[in-house]
Amino acid sequence: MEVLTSKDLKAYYHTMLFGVKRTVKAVDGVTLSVNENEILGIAGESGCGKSTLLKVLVGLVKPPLNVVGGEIIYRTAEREVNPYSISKDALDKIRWKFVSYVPQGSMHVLNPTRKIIHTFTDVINAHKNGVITSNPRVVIERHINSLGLPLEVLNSYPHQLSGGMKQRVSIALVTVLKPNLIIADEPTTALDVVVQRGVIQLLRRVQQEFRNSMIIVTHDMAVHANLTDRIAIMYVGKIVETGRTENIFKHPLHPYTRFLIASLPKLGDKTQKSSAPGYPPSLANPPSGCAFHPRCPHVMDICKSHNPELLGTGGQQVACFLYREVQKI
Amino acid sequence: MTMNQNGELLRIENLSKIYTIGGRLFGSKLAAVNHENLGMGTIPEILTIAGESGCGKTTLARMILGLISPTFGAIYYKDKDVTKIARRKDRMAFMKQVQTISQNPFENFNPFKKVESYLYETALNFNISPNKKEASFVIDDALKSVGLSVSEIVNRYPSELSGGQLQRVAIARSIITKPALLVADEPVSMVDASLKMSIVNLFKDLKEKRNISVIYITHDLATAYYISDRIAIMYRGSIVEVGHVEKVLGIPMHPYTQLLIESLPQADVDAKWKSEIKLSAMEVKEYSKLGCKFADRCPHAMEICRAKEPEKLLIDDRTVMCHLYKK
Repeated sequence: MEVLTSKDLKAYYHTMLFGVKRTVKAVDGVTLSVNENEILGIAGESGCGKSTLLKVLVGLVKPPLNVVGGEIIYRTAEREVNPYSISKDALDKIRWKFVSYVPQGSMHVLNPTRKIIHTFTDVINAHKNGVITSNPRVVIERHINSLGLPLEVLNSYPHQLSGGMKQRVSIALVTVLKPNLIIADEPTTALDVVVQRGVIQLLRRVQQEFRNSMIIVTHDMAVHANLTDRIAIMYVGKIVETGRTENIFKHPLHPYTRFLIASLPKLGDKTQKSSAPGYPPSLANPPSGCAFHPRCPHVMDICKSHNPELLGTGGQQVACFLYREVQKI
Repeated sequence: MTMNQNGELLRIENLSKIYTIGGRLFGSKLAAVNHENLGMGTIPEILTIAGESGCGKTTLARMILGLISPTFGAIYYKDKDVTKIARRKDRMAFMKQVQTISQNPFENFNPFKKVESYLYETALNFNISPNKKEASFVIDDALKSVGLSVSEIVNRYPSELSGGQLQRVAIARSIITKPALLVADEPVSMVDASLKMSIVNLFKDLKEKRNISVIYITHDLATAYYISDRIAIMYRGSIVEVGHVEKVLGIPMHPYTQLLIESLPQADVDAKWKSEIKLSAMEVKEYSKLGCKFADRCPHAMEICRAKEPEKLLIDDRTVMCHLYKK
């Protein structure tokens, strides 16, 4: 069962400056689904539109960002909901309980003048709807315990905690109402290796505890290897390859994915590694046809004029003309 | 390591930086760098300083660059104590020799200035070339060695270049003065995954082709293993293990190095973590502790660890600061 599906989703930034109209196609035809009890990873370089995609998926769209096409379906326990066709009140009701969002740099979201426990009770009171009635503190303490965090953090102010602990507290905060879907934007970036491991450990624990689904965005492929079940590789507003994590790491198909996987440094390996040639294009002015063609070593004539579709069967799908013949058969 | 011999590029002796937190009367002291010694030879090498944030690696780098002055201790660059440089002329001569590359290329460049102006300013201010015309040859050469051409950056503003390109321009700028030592503080943490290795390879090239030594500060042990010759692991202001990178990361001896390597996510689906690790709850307190600062998190902690700071021991081609190996 899919918890969330998006079909041919398009979200563009429209800006108008001194009469010059500009359109940045940050999300351009993304079709994607997340199954129950699954961790989906989205990888891609900065400025490829992955954070915008997440914002669109959670329904946090504000001008200049506009959704111009496609649809999103949330499959809650009772019904199917399109977050863009319901009222704001109805959307607020499913937020935190059905879908919750850990934004980038979420360790800075905690209110510096209030103790952590008050932030937790605020969330619970705003969304209680008869679910949690008597004593929120008991619920919060049980939740903090089940995630293996020390109880002292509840009586601390945010400045008394380290960056890694704040990050873990904010993950505990978004999971306190046990949402079906957690969407996290770069949850481990800007943390050190040991603390990063703690955060990944916590995310995995949350997933095992509550059997929910997650979408994790990060550019760190090592995090994907450790945490995700499935990966979608994004390049200039489009998904160029998706598949099971093992397949993506062992048999990458798209030339961009192949460069990405081949360039990963490993401990105990001093052989020469090289990056993809050239530079990532700007979203405001993407190349024609397949956006990767100026950097691709296998470029053909068709790549310069046409845009490949995401095709494939079973575990792995790829948007590349190299595999067109194989896909036809 | 403290051999007082000629021909050492850089030598750090008993260096400390102590910050006071809170008021002068009631404040507590925090030793960001605690009585540290470190040396670099004249043969070009890449030395990595690795550790978690707040372990003092940036403080150490800033002291080497002369941006902050140490509380006590000395830094000798080619047998001259750089902490005692007073004259502007001497400071300029030192800056010509020791250059820096910082973490975020977007914060480094003024958005209202063309990027090439940074290259010209460096060439002219350090008297590398007498006029703009001759400077352009020097700049062309520097840009070529980082894989850029003048036509790619001429008349461009920082916003028109990508992060990877800007970081290359920053590296090109730093080698204009023909330095002997580069201090690079997390140079690839803001660069896209697909371009990271090309920047890392640049440092290798600079070492091999231009004989530049590099101090590479990072928490990314995988790239550290890939490029460096030696590595120093820092924890709470102390270098707990230092030696050849194959030795230290291959067969780690200090329990903290072991923890770091165990925590490093491997980009390999067959090497997922099975176990869970212990994190410190209150990190700031660890600085002011007696004895070994890692004792509370260490699986091998003994009584002596909490009472007495371990000595630095020379074992198996490396220096380890741990009571476990004391005979």
